[in-house]
Amino acid sequence: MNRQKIQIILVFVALLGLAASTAFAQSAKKKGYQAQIVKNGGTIVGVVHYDGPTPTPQRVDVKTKEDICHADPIYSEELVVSDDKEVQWAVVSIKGIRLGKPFAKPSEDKDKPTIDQIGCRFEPHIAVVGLGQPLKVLNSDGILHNVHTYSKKNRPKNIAMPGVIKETKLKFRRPEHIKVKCDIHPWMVAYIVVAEHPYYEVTDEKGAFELNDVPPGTYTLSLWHETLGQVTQQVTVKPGEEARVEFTLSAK
Amino acid sequence: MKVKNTSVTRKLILPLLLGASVAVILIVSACQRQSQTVSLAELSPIVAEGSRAYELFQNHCAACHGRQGRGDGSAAIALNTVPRDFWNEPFRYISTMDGVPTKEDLAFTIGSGRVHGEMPSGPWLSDEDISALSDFVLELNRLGWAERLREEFASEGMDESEIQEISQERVTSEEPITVPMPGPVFLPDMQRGRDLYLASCGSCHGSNGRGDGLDMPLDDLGRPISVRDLVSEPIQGGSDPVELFKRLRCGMPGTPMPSQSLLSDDDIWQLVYYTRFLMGQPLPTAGR
Repeated sequence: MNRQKIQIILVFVALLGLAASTAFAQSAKKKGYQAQIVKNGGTIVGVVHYDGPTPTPQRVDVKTKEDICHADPIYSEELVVSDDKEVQWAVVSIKGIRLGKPFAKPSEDKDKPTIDQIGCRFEPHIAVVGLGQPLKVLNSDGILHNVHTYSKKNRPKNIAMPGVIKETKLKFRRPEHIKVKCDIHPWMVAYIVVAEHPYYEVTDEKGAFELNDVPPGTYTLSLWHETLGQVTQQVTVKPGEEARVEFTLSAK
Repeated sequence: MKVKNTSVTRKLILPLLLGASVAVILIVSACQRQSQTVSLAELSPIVAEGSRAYELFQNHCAACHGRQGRGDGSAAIALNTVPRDFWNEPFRYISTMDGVPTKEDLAFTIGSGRVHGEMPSGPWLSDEDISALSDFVLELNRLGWAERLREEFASEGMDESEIQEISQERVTSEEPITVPMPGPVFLPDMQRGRDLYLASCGSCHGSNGRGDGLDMPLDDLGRPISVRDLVSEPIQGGSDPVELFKRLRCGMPGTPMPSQSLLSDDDIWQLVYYTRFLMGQPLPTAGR
């Protein structure tokens, strides 16, 4: 009798262990990025250059009577190159980094990942949001816009934002570069970059970017631009030092 | 004798040439068709050639939707609307907030057809047949997702298990919305309805509902699409208030029509009845 009981318990324990180990193995496989405090991190700074004749800014032909869409001239942000041939709106990230700093936790509301519909434009053109973190979607215009995402890894969405609705939130389950459009104002195009770790930066108007608190090591930097494509480059980060990187994207 | 012979040859030349060219065209088109065809059985047992669902699809749907449901059936060119390509387009008529139809949504479309569209209803189909066809088209949609994911992300290291997982997720619906019936004291308020309509619908459907609000509307595949003229064109999904509520709340995936997920139930009901007013449909009255 006793022996039988012990046997049952043993079998039970064995099963439990098996289940736990399977679950652990799965979670280990699934686990992507792990955040920790980075001591002695380095910095990666760089510039994205453009190889080709500087494109002239393309003014959008605004085919709507809504006043707010005519408040300021609207230019396409598909390819923005400075006079010194530096590329804005390119996304730089460290490919496949598994350990590093945690995502920033902005206390101020204005610093949280946000995309606004303002003056019949998406602002910013490229919004970066951490995996599983909410992206604030604002409608400052007071007219109807629709937020239509063309995602593949994440569930595509098409949400109406009538003028009276000022804010909603979106969340994403997988890292992806997601194209966003407004069907009512078809020139309105933006990208939501769902970042699997905090080492993502969008280049500014001087084509510059800076990644901080990078644990020392050798990495592959990935550079993505919506029309110019994707390139990668190796970079080695030393403790407390600045690693400089130059990218060049060729005209298509 | 000689002369006669020549004339016979001459008489035969034209039909022979015609016949030969027709044969060439047929062979070429058959080859092209062949090249587009993949073995469904290799992809999934649900859509395998020879299965009951496959045979049903061939008998009832393939003429327009194509043998593999790619929207390229032989009758498609005779239609005003493009038949759905189940591989590359989402389903339009849904009752969920996640852009995916429930099996009941698909069964409803298959069984009732598109009320005023070109898709006929299937009253001769049994519930089992409809259920099998629902599974069939949903599986084609999943295979389409898998195909696109593979094409775009396999080179970035997305493995087959992840492709299967995500494609399954893309066709798995949450619970359908419950359409909350308007309370007993609800009355359509035409002024409120019009205000909401102008704020939420007029940009596309036009301030008077004539479908003239957008310049060049496109569907998700970049093809021109027309905005419904609510006044003079019948609504594909029917003008039943509950169906209209679902269209407004859930949107129509694959088209510019968004989901009105941020409006209150009451506001949606006001829009339902204002839309019905534009259509010339009866409205509820007091003391109902």
